[in-house]
Amino acid sequence: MLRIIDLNALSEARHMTEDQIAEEQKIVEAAKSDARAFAAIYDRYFEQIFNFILRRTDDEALTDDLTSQTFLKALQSLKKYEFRGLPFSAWLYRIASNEVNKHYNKKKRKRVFSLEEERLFEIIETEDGNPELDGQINILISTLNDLPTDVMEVLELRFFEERSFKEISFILNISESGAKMRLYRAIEKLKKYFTVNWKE
Amino acid sequence: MGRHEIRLRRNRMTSGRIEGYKDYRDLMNKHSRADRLRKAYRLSIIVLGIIGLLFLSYLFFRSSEKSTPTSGVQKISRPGVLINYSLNTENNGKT
Repeated sequence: MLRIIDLNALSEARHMTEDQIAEEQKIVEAAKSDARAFAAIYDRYFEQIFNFILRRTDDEALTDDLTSQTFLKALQSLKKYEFRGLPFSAWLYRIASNEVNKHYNKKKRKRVFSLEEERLFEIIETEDGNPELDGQINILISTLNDLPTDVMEVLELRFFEERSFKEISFILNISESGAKMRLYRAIEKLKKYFTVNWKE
Repeated sequence: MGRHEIRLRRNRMTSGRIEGYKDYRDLMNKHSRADRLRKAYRLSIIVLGIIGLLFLSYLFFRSSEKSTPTSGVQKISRPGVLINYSLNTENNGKT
C-alpha cells in the first residue's frame, strides 16, 4: 500500500503581515522603556513557546521552568533586541532553543522530540483512504529517529511550528540555504518510504 | 541508535491547561530581583574600580615623592677634608 505524507497541510507558515510586524514592534519598543508593556508580548506568545519547549522536552514541569526562563531572558535583554524585519516571536524561539540546548548539554541526555499523535494523523494518508495508521506512524517515527538531530530541528520548526525559512535560519543561527538544505535532506529520506506531497 | 528520540504524545496540551502555567507576576518579580542584583553588581564593580584607581594614584604619588630630593643642594660629606681649608680668613678674601 502506498503511503502518502501530505506536508502541504502543515507548511503554511504563520505569516505575519508587515503591518502586524510593525504594530508588534511598537509594543516591543514600549516594553524597552517600560517592562510592564511586556505583558502583551507574554500573553501573545506564551502558548507558542510553551508548546515548542514541550515538543523538545516532553516534560511539563521542565517546560514550565524553561518557558519562564526564556521570557525572563527576553525581558532582561530586551534593550539589546534589534528589529530585523522578523516577528518578535523568532527572537523568543531563538532564546527558547538556546535554553533547551543548554539544558541538554548540562544534563548530557538524549534529545527528545515529542510530537502530537493527532498532528501526525493529519499528514499521513493512504491511497485507498484506509489508513493503517499504527504501522505507518511507526515507519515514520523510525525514519525521523534516523535523521540527524539538526535536520530534525529544521523539520520540526518548519512543519510543526510553521516557521518560515528566514525565521528558522535566525532561530538556529544558520544560513537560509543551510536550513533549506537540511529540510531537503529530511524530505529525501522520507521519500524512501513515503510518497511525499510537498511543494515549497 | 538515533541521536535523538521521537516520542508520540496522545493528547495535545489544551490552551486552558497551558494558561495554568502562566504567571506574569512571578516573571516580573524575578525580573526586578535580577535587575536589582545586576545593579548591585555594577555598582560594586564601579566602587572597586574607583578604589583601585585611588590606590594606584596613591602609589604613584608616593613613589614620585620618594624619588624627589628634599632640597636643591646636594650634600656631600668628605671625611678628612676640613670645611675651612680653602677659605681665606686672613685678609677678608683679598689676595
